[in-house]
Amino acid sequence: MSSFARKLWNGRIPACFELAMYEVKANSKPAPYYVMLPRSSYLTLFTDQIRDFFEIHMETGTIDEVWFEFRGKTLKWHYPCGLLFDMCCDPSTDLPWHITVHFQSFPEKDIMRCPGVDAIESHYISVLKEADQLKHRMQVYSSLNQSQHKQLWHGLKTDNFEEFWDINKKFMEGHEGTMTFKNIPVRIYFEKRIIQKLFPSVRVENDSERDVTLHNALSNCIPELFEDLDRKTETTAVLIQGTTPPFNTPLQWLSKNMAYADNFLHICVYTNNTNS
Amino acid sequence: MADDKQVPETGDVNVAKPQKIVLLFCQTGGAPILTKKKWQVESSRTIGWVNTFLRKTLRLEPNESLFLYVNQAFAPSPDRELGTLFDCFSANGKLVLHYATMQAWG
Repeated sequence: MSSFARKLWNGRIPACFELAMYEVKANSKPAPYYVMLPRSSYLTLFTDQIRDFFEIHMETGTIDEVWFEFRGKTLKWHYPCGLLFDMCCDPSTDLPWHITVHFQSFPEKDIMRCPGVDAIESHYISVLKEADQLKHRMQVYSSLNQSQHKQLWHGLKTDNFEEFWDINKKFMEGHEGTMTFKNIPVRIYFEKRIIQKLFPSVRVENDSERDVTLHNALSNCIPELFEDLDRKTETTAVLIQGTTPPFNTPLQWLSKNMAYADNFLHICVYTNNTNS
Repeated sequence: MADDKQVPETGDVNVAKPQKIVLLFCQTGGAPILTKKKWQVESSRTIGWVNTFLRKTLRLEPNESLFLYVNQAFAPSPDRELGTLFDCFSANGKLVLHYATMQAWG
């Protein structure tokens, strides 16, 4: 596995959780709760410790399922933490990441419920299976046994790099003896849309095979983006795992080195207009 | 939900017609059977919408579960748009969704 994998795994977002003011018991002043969030983890994996921390400050009898909010926006727990941060924060001003915690008025319309850790696991495994379907026609996932599936999730849940990558490396092998994946699992987040298409790792141009690059993928999905980039570079940003790789980077390389634990390459594209 | 009968043309070319895709429902694991399996649906609809629609059509009780699967493999989250699933996983011009009232493919 690449040294990139370890560096990304160690990538943390300092977060400061605060209980919503209207949910605080009279005469109670809860301190904020600080956590270093792993980029590939999920917010609701921290529910128990956050609830334990705030419980004595909450009005009893009003506790529903937890949900999280940042600047008035409900955070979708089923996105990895790093993606959520890239979608709505500016690292130059928004660190630590101030997240408001709610235990009342669950916003049913905005997010799905997360009744427990099992729900996060089954969501994670489902996204992983989708990624494997694209990469290897599900052959890798199907070749693993139950305890290997469990090990993968357990490694992610407990933030254990070796345990996770011991299994995850199998998903990084090429499809059917080749060096590349059949298709690259990519999701592009742009103007409240999620764009997902089939991206093979190579394309044919002038009778020769070439790598499909980040530029190819983005210009295919958002043709107007590069006109904008030429005109107003400073207002357009492309973020993968909090960084901006060169546009000529092959998607195959990005997928192998910069995918999240769910094996998807989550790409945030925003302009000043769309980020506001 | 529009069904797969031909919708009469209005003749108004300025109105952009929403893009539609063909959904094929397949029952699995003892779930109730749908009499009409093939539907034409706007591609911007989500899995959450399909879930609500199917629950209504199959007359499921609120306490009954319903699971939807693509490629008999994974359960897409409720916010996924049908159009993107169609782009990645359709075969022969159809997106096949398996539905079950119990978890079928863990």
